[in-house]
This record gives sequence, C-alpha cells and structure tokens, in this order.
Amino acid sequence: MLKTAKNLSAGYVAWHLLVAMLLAAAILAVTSAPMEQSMGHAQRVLYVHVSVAWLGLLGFIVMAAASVAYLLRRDLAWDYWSQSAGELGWLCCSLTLVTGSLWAHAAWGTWWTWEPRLLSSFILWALYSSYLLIRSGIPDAHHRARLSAVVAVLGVLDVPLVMMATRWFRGMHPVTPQMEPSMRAVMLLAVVSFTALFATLFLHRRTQIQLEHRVLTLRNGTNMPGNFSAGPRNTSVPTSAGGSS
Amino acid sequence: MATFLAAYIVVWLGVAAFVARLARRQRILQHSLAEIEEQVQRSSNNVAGNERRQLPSRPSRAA
Repeated sequence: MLKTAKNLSAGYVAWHLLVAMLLAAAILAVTSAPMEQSMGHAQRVLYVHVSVAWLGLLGFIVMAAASVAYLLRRDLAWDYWSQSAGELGWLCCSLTLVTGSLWAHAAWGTWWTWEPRLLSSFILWALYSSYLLIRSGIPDAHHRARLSAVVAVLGVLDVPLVMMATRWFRGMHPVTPQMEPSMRAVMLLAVVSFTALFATLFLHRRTQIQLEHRVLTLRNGTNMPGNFSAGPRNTSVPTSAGGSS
Repeated sequence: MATFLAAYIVVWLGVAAFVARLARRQRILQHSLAEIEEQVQRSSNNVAGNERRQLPSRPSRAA
C-alpha cells in the first residue's frame, strides 16, 4: 500500500516536471532565446523542428533494434516495443515534415523542394507508413511481426542518409547552424523535454499493446467476438504475449 | 512569429491526437476486460449450479 502511494506520488511529480519543462521550453523559445538577424522570428521554429526530427530518427532506430530482437528471439514482447516506437516515430516524422515545410516557406519562399535532406526525410516517412500499413493488413501476429521487422531493419539504412544528407550532398538545408549559448540552452531544454514526453508516451503505448494482445487471447479462450474497433485486427492467439517484459 | 506559432500548434495538435487515441483505446480495453470478467463470472455460476443439481439428494427421515 505504502509502495503504491510512493509510486503514485513519484509518477505525479515526474508528470508535473515534464509539463513544467515543456512549458519552460516553449516560453524560453519566445522570450529568452535571441532573435536571429537574417530570419527573424521564423528561426524559432528550429526549437520544435529539431526536437521532433531527432525523435523521428530515434523512433526508427528503436523500432529497428526491437525488430532485430524479435527476429532473433521470435518473442512477441519485442514486437510490442517495435510497434509502439513505429507509431510514435511516424507521428514525429510527420510533424518534422510539416514544421520543416512551415520553416521552408518563411526561409526559402517555398513549401517544399526536392533537395537531399527533404527527400531522405520523405523516404523515412514513407518507410514508417509502409511499416504501419503492413501491420494493419496482416491478421496473424507472428507473420505480421516478421514482415514488419524486415521493413524496419531494411528501412533503418535511411537513417544515416537523413543525418548525413547535408554533408554528403549539396543542398539548401542548413548543415549545423551556429548558435549563441542561450539559443543552444533553449534548444537543449526543448530536445530533452520532448524526448521525455516521447519516452512517457512510448511506455504507455507499449503497455497498452501488450494488454490488447492479452485481452484478445482471453477472448479467444472464452469464444467471445473480438471487438477492437480501433485496435489490431489480430484474431490469432499470440503464443508468447507479454513474454519477457 | 506566426510561423513559430503555427509550428507549435501543429506539434501540440499532433501530440494531443496521439494522446486522445491512447485514451480511446484504453476505454475500449477496459470495456473488453469488464465483458470478459462478466462472462467468466457467468460461466462459474453455471458450473456451480450444475454441480449442485448433480449432488445426490439426502435420504429422507421416513426412509
């Protein structure tokens, strides 16, 4: 009982800390960080754009690592990690493209151009989308996990391409803009707070996926009809639901 | 400043949509768990009823 209360209060404090950090990052990005001379206020998009871009890349790396673990162990518990990272990574990658496009309109006068960094980021988004599409179309849990793991492992080759695109190919996207220390501090705060938010959502989603599979297993055991309207279309019983978690 | 605000709003709308989806699935999950619990309860009640019917009746005093 005491332990539960302690866990609850720790979670409560951590949640408030996360909200405070996100708020501080947003406020400091407007008030404390100096305005860049050539671009003006549009440069402030960078604080949120870089944060979600980093998480889009991190999501793919986590997804691929969990997929490799699944292919080696054939334990669905790894597939749950992979799915959770895939869903959040897709969100972050989509937000990167949208915020980047907003910035490009202010900086370059165009919403989109096929330059190397943008092209490789778009390919990453397409890979995320195909990973999720494959998952939604296959009912058998192990078959779905195996195929999507292959897409994730092959797709991760695009991550270094996105990261190095500005160095390897000549494009319009800035390489690593020079920043004042105060700008760097706000950027760091934004990246850390968004990463903490990503980690929280990632863990929640992973637990939820595991529970969904357990409910499906129970339903199959009691011969009840499956009814996850928004959930996975899996009707086969996962053999190692929850496995090593 | 409008570009910055638009970017921030887009990001928070995206996060809010993800959290809303998470909450909706949680509700569906809780509903399903309650259904399964009810089903299990009903089955165990049926089993108990059958067992009671199958027990041999006590011999009457007159016998």
